[in-house]
Amino acid sequence: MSLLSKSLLSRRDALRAAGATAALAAFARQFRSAAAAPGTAPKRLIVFWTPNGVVQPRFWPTGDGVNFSLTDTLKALTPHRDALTFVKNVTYSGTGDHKTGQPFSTSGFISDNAGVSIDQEIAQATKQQSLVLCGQSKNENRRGFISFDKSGAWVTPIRSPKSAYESVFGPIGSVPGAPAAPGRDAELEAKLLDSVLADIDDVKKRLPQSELVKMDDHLSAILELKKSVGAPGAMPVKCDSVDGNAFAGDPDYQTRVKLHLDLMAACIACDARRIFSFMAAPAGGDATSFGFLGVSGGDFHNDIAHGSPGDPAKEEMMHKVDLWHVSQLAYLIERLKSIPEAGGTAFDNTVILWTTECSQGNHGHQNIPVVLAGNAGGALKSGQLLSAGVKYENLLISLGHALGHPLTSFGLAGSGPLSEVLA
Amino acid sequence: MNAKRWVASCSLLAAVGCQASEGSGTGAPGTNSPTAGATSGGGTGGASTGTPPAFEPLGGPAPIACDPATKGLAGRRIWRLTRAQYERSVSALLGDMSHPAADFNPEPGSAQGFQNDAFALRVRGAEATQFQAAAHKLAQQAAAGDLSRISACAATSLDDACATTLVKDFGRRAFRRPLSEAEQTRYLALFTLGKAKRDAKLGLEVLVEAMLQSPNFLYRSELGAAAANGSVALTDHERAALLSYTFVGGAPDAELAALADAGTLSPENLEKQARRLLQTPEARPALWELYRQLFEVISLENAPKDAAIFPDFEATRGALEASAKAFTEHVLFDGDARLGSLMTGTQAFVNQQLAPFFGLTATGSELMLVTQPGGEHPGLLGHPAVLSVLAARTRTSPVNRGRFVRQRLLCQQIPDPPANVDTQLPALTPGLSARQQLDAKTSGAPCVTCHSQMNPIGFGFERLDGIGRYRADENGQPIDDSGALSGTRDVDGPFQGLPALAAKLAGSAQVQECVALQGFRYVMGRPESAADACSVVSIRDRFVNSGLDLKELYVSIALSESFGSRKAD
Repeated sequence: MSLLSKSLLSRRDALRAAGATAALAAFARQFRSAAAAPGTAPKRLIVFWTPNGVVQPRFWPTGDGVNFSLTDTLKALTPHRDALTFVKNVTYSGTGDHKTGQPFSTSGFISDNAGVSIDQEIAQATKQQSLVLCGQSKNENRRGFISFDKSGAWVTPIRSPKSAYESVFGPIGSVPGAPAAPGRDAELEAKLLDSVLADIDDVKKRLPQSELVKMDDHLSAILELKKSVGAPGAMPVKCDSVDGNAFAGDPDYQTRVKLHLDLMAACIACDARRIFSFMAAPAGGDATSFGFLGVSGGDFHNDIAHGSPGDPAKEEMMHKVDLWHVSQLAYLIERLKSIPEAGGTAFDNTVILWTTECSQGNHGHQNIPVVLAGNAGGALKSGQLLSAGVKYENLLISLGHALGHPLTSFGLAGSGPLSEVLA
Repeated sequence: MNAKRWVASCSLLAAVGCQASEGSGTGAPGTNSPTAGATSGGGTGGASTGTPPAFEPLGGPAPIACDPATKGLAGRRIWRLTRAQYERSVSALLGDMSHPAADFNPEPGSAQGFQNDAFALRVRGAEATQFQAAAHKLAQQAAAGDLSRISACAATSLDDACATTLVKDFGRRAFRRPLSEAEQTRYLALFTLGKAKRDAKLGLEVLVEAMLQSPNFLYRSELGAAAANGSVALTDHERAALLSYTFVGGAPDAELAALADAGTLSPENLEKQARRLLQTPEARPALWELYRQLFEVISLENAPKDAAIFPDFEATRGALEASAKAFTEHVLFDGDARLGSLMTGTQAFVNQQLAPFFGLTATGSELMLVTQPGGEHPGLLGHPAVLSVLAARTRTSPVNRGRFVRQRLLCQQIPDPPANVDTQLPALTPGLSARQQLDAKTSGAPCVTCHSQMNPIGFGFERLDGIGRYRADENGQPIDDSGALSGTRDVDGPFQGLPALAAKLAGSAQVQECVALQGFRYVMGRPESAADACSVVSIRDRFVNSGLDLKELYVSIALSESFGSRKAD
């Protein structure tokens, strides 16, 4: 039994046990996404990011417009075909490599730390907290991350599922829906953070100009934590539809990715977060093991990916990795479809952007894989293969429009939304 | 940019060079600083990256000279604890050994390859959340555990008088300095609020939790007090903390703290304390950390290796690191602590698993000190832990090994290969040696300009395979391990094999100066600038005059002007 369906049951049990109408009303407020009326459900964006491109000749659907057929690579997405938009012939700016493609894929800039990424842009404009996750984030990895704040600074993704869970729901094992412990009410939590803020203020007064940035960073982070104390949609979010124990431990890569996908679904079910960025692994030379796929003789994506064009054995291995990435996207969609919302499912109110930094394993910025899944509450067209090629920055702008943030420019060259994409 | 840093004639081709590799990273580890190459962003509010300190590299073929005209100090700063420092600090405060930082984000690292970069270490959203969750858990455990750890009176009567003492005493230990009146009042109010909400234990819990999240705990202060003549001396409390975190990786102990409280941390006392701390067991892991990062052993855990070619490697990663650590600590603390011993020593720590790496046999899992009969693995440079990191997934990597010697031991820089060049080596062709094939790939323009500075050094390592085991031949082919150094101050010329290279490097004044400079970068947690030259020269000269004693190197860094003084704003 899946995590969510099991806990949905336990929520009903809890409701039954609570009995009183007042308690029911309280719960209904806490689970407002599940209770939202049709048309009023919140919209969500998930950036679903995988590294090192795909096996190009085996990836793209055949056909055009609404008449297209999925390839074997994409078979796991068959049940969701009509919710997908494939955007062919997208060319990223940059020098055709990982290093410029990775920041471009989310920010429309070709270098790290140059501009804001679309998830953070929308989160800030819509006053939402984001959740930034990764399956792999190697210390020695020389490539960057995919989320940038307004100043262009990296938003470091959280790799540990436990840490990610606790950043939203509070410590594992804390009693859902109740104060963390007797006496720890909103006033106390607020005063505790006030104490941290007062110390930050004191330190700030003594800093030279060049060091202010450190306390400014810290100050914003604590203010962010404080916003949620005691407020509706408070952090840590009290939500009993998710079992924190599932996120404990230090799992392997495969399990970690699954848990991050589960966590995003849990956040959506509880309306704890609406904007997500998930990087499966960084691009380029990062050594992510795909041994669990039976990929042998070259366990590492970069080696396989680089060798894949023109080497049938390596291409076959790369294909296995592609299939796995597709299956993870399909899993995420299925999780969202299992969450009832506003007469449909949470997936109806979500858009997932799947992309990567290179078109294929040995670089290249032509024909980058770009896929949209879901229509964000009817804001986007879906069930189509766009072959004409679009300006990628404008696709990112379109996502802003879909999420209620009508951008007019973005990245280096974005100029406006795409009529091919907006409903 | 100072051209001296670059290998001669390579710098001009930084944009068109190329650097062949085979899958494994060829660059220094930990260079993903969130601010590396930061450009001015939108700057529309929120967090910003700031301007990193100037990096005007010293070192290289020309000896570093002290020029009084450019002599200066670095600015005042605060320095966030690393994960390891956080855990040691917490364990000294609360006795907690549960690795509370295990799930924290890794340190962002610096372009110089060290993980403790003071500019890059920040608290942003994810880190604040992680510190908050850890503080909450630690405070809860502390309040439920042995209260005498926090304050003597707390275990018997946690009344208001005790709370006043506790705020002072525990606060003093957490902040590494006495609390101001205002701070005491504020923290006491937090205790009182918790007590009113439930009981005195909750008061204590929130007090501890708030202090563990305070910037006064999470950052070390290097702000000093009053300025005089353009410079600011760090306070005794700041110098005590800097000394302690440098030499033992944690906050000052009672003796050092008392000296700071009494205001008697004179230069003489500081030196005495440095030498005392070097005698404590905590100095061992603290000094090892420099060499672990300098020799890139930090990347061993994740160094990609092909299981089909090196089937037993996966199970030996932990033991290999332990062996490299044991060797280094042995040289530094049980041996003569000389650079020569670290670079060329023929002793090794092996167990049953590791003995075959050194061509030996052994039983049991305990590491034992042995002498290598053939001496094929000179010092830390020849240790399989280092050689594995500096090799590729399926084979050796003369490029990466040569890059390492240039960058880490000679303090010269090799630019990254340009972004759009395919740096993958083709599969090995039977009958050709790896050396011949690498030559074929990199001998043409533009690659050769930089590769001629790396490959000839790396070829000298060819008798050590992709995981650092000695090999007599390469799949039946004879091995050519002749190499050559060029563009150096004092060790140019041919050499034969790794032991000869290690001996040359250990005797090189350029390498000795570079080791002093690397120590400076690590201890200061920042890149050097031209203003540091006089300090680095004094450190180098003391180090050389001590007979290249690596513990004395540490002491000399602590005695340098750059260590204890900062520039007035």
